[in-house]
Amino acid sequence: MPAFLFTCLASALGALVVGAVLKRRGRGLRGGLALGAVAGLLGSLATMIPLQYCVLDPENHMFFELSVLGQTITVNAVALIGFLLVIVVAWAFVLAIDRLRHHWLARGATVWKADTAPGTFIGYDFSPWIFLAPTLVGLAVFTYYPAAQNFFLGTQLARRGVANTAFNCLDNFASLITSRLQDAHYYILSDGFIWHAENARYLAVFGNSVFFSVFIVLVANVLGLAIALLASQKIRGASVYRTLIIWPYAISGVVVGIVFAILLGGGGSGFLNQFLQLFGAEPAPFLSDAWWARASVVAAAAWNKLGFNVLIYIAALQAVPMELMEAASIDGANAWKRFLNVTIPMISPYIFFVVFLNLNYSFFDLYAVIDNLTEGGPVNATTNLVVDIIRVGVESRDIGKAAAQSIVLFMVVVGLTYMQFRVMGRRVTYGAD
Amino acid sequence: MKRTIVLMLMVLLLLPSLTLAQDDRITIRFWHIWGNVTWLPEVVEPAFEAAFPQYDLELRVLDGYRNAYDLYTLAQEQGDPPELLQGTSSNTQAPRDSGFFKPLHEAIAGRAEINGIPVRLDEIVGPAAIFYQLDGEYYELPWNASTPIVFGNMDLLVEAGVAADVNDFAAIPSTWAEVHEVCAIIVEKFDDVDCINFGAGGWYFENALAMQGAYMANNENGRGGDCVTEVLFNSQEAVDYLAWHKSLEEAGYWVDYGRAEYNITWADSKLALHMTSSAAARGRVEIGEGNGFTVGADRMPYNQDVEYVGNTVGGGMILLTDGLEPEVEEGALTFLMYLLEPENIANWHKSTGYIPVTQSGFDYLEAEGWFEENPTFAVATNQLTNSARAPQTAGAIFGSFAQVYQMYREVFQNILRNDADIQESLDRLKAEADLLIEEYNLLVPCEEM
Repeated sequence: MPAFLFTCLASALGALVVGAVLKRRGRGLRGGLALGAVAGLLGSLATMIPLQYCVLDPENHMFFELSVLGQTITVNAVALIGFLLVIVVAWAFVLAIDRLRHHWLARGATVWKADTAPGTFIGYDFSPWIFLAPTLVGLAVFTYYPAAQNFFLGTQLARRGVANTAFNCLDNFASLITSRLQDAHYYILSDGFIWHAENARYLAVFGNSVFFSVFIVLVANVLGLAIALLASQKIRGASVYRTLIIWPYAISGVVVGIVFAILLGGGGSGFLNQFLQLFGAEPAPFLSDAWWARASVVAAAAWNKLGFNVLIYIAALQAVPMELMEAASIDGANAWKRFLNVTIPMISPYIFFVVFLNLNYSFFDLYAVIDNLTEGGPVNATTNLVVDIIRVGVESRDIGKAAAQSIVLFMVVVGLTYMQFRVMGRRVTYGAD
Repeated sequence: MKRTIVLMLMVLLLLPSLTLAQDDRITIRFWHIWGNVTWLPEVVEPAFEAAFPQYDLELRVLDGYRNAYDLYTLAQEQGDPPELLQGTSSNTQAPRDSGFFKPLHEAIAGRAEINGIPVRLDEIVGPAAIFYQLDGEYYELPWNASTPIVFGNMDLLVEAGVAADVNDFAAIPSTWAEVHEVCAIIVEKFDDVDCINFGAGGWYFENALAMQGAYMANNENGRGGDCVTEVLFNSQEAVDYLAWHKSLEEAGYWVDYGRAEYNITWADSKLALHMTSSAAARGRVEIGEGNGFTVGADRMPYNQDVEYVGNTVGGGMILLTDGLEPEVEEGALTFLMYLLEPENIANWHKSTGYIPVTQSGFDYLEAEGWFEENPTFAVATNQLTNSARAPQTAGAIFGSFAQVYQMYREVFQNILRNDADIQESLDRLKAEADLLIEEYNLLVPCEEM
């Protein structure tokens, strides 16, 4: 009975929300209501049937406290995540059904056009699928199937090396926002905080990932562009300098981690500290202080990526048409204005490309650098999402929770990529025309 | 020309099968983590193969216990595990529950000798026996057993006026209070010498509890018939140990080094005392010899306000894969029994510092006069011999031990670096550990253990 009610509620909510949204966009209310109802129904069924409607079970509860404007409420994390999951899946159904509808309409148009356009296939052409098949089979076996398995694993209590597993609903996800040790508290716009969380270890790890991503992208791009500007000058031996500047890119993350560990080693034994001590300075706690350690990881990772960025930016700068620069000069623009108003817009596709790759690198590929430089310490200060997944899944063999964490990471990356394409797509200038 | 090429190709194709046909020895693969001990590949492997030409011993070095067990699990999942694996004392129960391994006592099945080599399990020395046995039986081969001891740079201690001469090992502090006293003198005397270093890890914590007679977990550390359902990490004894550790840190006596830094500091005579595994004896002494100072050793410091109960064994064991062909299992067992031969036990001890786990091995060394000539190597055995045979000193046994072990470092570092409250931190550690135990017991119910 609760399952039936839940499904009806999801369907009704879907109809209301999608109906309202489509009406505001000037599309028909009736179509919106139908689309929302179907998507809500499919979304709730697709989510809840595999989960056996466990989120409705009063036994499944993991609570956290949320303070908004001084009012504290206790939230059931399992139910909240289940609800969010239904929304995400239902929304995916909305987009998919809408896309199919467009596709159907466009197909009708093609068939109609085929009467007057010789050489166009009438009916559906399967040949692209045949050519794509080898790749698709590989992807299905080695990527999509393991990814689907990962979703399944995220709902299990599972230990590597232990044959038994047990279904544990969304506990693996809920334990990320609740605290397994003490009550977790979230303060939003209350008690003087805009946003603050207590006793939620995973959020701190999440924060580290965001910190690394923002600063690695910033440092590697600003420095990369600055060096590229210098390196693209016509000076004697430019190719030698360029090679020297680019070579760190060829070094693996493991080596970067080890080199920086030797360079920044604590206790006064690192090269940099030895050097500082020559001038009577106190040794800096590069790897033993939380903020120094974070900065060290950013420095090492940015240095590793710098060569690649410089390489791309040199190519980008060479592609900026000289006539535009000359025209700007004639119009009275100084070097800084030419850089800001001509160079930057002209190389914006390259900036987009580099920022995107750097962001992916800092979210996904930082493990080797962190593991060899700080091992995620001191006290988790440099543990990011990927390091934590390895720690939970490999070191602690808790593969259920590691799977849940990797799904969260996956969602973050999908969201970031989507946002990047939407935001950057509008502002990036491709070509001079 | 064509014919020659075809002939050459045929020979090339046939060559591997010819080689295979010649070598019909039974392969015994042993994955271990002692990459730095040359004795195994240089002495044991050729000697074993000469004594038993029907076996081909293949040694593979892996990077650390965790990595070894991970790769072994993977090999099991792929259906081709090695015959023997080195395991660790901090991960005893989970491998037993995994179904990957055959209990050693079952494989031996009461025999007095394997392939002509005597079964010497009844010669395992007391402290190791209580640690490695469960319900009086051996599930794995007791092998690399050690215990934490304190190494001292005797030249520094003499210079500070703490020791009368470089052979005055008794001057190395053996109680918590003595560590404070000696460190006060060291820090006062030298500007650039650190007093003591030891890991903020689990092993010292476990030993500190055992020394004070406290249990790590309920149901007599899981050895009283019922399995562990909760840990006892927030006891007064635990708080006292961490308070002592914290007081050393606050006084500037305990210094935390990362990675291999302590080796450099030790070699440079910038560190007076180093508490670590007795298995590091060979390395510590060699660094001392290479840098012109004498290395002494003494027992792990204990709480002078509480009656001393005993230390625990740490280290590892060798596990036998289940489901092997009988002749392969016989070969693997032969190698295990070969390792327990007195001469091998003695050489293993000399190469590392791990205690001789059999009485016959110990007697062999004593007859040679080894301990008289090398008193540093006698400390660990003495420490364990003086330990009570009790469940507290046998160490805890539960399936999620390895995960709990990983958590120690995080919590202890938080106490030492971030001044977190000790009792509160230990309460949290207990809560988290209990949850892991509850989850594990859900997957592997107690009666199946």
